[in-house]
Amino acid sequence: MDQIVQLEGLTKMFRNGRGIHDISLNVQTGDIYGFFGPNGAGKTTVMKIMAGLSRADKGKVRLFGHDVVTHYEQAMASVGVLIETAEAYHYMSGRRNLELAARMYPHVDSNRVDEVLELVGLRSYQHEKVGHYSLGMKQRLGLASAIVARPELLILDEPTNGLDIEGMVQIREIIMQLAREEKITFFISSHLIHEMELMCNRIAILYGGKLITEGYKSELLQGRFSSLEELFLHEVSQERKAAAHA
Amino acid sequence: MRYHKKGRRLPMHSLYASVWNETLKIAYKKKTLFFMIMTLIIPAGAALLLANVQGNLGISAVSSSDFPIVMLNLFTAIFLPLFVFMGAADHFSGEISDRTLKVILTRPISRFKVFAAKQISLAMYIAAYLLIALIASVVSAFFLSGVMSGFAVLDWLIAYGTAFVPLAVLSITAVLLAQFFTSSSGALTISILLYIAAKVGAFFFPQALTYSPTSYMDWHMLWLGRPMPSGELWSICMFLLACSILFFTAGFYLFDKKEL
Repeated sequence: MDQIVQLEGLTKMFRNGRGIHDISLNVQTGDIYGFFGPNGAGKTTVMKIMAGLSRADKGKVRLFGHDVVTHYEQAMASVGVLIETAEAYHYMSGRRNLELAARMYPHVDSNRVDEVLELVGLRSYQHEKVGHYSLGMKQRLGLASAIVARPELLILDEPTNGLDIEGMVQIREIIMQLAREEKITFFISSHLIHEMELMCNRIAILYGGKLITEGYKSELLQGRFSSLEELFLHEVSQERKAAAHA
Repeated sequence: MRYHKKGRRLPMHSLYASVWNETLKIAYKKKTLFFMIMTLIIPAGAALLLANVQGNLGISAVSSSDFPIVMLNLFTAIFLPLFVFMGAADHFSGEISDRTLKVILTRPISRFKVFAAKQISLAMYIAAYLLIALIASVVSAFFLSGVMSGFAVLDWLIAYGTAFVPLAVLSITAVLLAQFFTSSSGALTISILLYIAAKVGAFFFPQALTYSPTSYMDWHMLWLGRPMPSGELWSICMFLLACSILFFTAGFYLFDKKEL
């Protein structure tokens, strides 16, 4: 299988002393890769660097073999991104917002816009201004905007953040449907371990800016842990012990 | 990787698409419609007022052939700079505060193309407003007395055409200023204050402000001179070109360094 995401020694430090240290991982085609960690662990920092919104102090990101710093357009050609909350132009309708996104790709037509509106359940609200949308609708619009170009890789940062249970289930179902029907590879971050457990086949755990464990879910659990939560607590206690000894 | 191949076939597609998107974003804003209506109303209102005053006093200070140039002076001094500052603030600082800039920057388009597309769309609107202002002024000029000669028409076209240049440079300058702000209101306020300071300062320090692009908002008048001061026009052209290159480069440098 192709490695479509390659992170090599990604490091970035902020003035407050927080940051990420030496993050390296690979994502294979077809993975639903869960990037799990508590709030403030550095997930969004990593994802922003991956999406070219921020620059690393050290290390490299390659998407489809292209460096995001030196060959951004090629690297992002088959990538959809949703970082933090989904934002859109509130003075335009949902459809107009999607059309803006679709225009950036020569192969995307209005039929595809209809298709994604249907997929995320916004067809009936497509002509309403985004300013009138609920948080859940904005999040679904953000997802629609990320998938409108039929990407091969979707980078989603906390896609269910701030949503109620119904909204979370809707987003999760859409993600599962996209993985199944459109064969999209996912790189999803979340601080909700239950979400990760339900959606992902591969997991990385980030804690205090460091990658403390990474691998396929089945291999990580290995019959030793009944859930990812148990695995997380174990790994964190190991990390704390190591830090205390150092 | 079928989309990579498609992307390579049309390397400039992202720039065209982005210019179109930026143009539409401005078009859908209510303030754009407001500026457009004002561009139509101001000349009509001014012409009616002038015709009335001049008729009552029995004088003809502004003839129909002078009127479009008088209106252009007003547009380039106050009205269009205000649009330019608002456009630059909304396009850059406003998009950061609304957090919509990251939506654009995560598409397969380089930051240079995004920056250039925003600048081009602002320049297109300046050209469009000048065209609307010209049409509105010419139509409104019929309210006033006087004869419109072929030379007058040529003067209008030259004046409105050349007025685009300092406004475009002002737009590039406003975009550079906007890079220092993360809210459109901050960028707009500072741009307006600096513009007023430059205009007022020109009375007290005329020598120093020769080096400010805001001093040439009325350079279209030089083009109407008989004879045309070609030496002065050439040096202003070079100065405005230098400002454009310098401010565009500095603006892009700051835009490219932005972490969102």
